[in-house]
Amino acid sequence: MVKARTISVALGGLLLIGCGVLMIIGDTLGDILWLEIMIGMGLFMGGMGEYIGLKKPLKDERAARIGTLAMTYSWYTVLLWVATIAMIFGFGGGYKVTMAQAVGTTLIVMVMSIFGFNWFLGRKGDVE
Amino acid sequence: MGRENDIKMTRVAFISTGMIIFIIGLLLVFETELELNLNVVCAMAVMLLSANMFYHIGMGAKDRDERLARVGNEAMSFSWYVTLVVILLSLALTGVLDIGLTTGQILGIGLMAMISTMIGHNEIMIRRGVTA
Repeated sequence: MVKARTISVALGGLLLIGCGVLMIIGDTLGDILWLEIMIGMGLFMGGMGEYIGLKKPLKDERAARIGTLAMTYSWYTVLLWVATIAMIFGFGGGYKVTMAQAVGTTLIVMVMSIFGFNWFLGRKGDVE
Repeated sequence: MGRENDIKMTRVAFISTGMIIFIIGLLLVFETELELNLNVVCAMAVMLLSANMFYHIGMGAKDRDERLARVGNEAMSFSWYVTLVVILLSLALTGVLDIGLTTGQILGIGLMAMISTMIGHNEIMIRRGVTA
C-alpha cells in the first residue's frame, strides 16, 4: 500500500514537472494542460500523507520527522524563489516573465525541492 | 534578556514581517504592477523573515526547542501542501474559466497563501499542541 502511494507521488510529481516544462517552453496554459495539472495534483497530493509519513494509520515517526523537515526546507526554498520572481517582475521583467513561465518554474522548484530534500535527509538521517 | 524573551521578540518580528509580505501579496493581486519601492520592501521583508524563520520554528542552532521545532515543521508541511493546492487550483481555474490571471496576481496569491497558512497554522498548533 505504501509502495503504491509512493508510486502515485512519483508519477504525480513527474507529471507536474512535465507540465511546468511545457508551460515554460510553450508559454501557455491552453489546450488541456490544465487538465494534466489537475491529474498531476490528484496523484501527487493523494499519496503525499503517506510519502512524508504523516498519515495516521501508517504513521512512521522517522519518516514523519524527515518528511516534515524536508517540507520546511522546501517551503523556504519556494518562498525565496517566489520572492525572486516577484523582484525580477518588479525590476521591469514583467514583460519578459509571463504568468505561465513564472508558475511553471515555481511548480518545478516545489516538486524537485521536496523530492530532493526528502531523499537527502532520508540518507543523512534524522539525528540532530 | 532571557531565552523566553528572545523567543517572544523573534515571534513578534517574524509575524510582523509575515504581515508585510502578506500586504505585498495583496498589492500584487490588486495593483498588477509592482513598483520599485515595493520591490525593495519585498526584498528586505524576505531577508528579515529568513533571519528569524528558523529561530521562530525552534530550530536555532544554539538553543533548539523540540516542541517548537515539531510544531513549526508540521505548520510548514501544512503550508507547503496548501500553497501547492492554491497555485494549482488558480492555474486550473484560469484554464477552465479563462479568467486571465497576470504574473503579479498569481505571485501575490502564492505569497499570501504561503505566509497566512504558515503563521496561522503555527499559532494554532502552538496553542493546541502536537499529540499525534
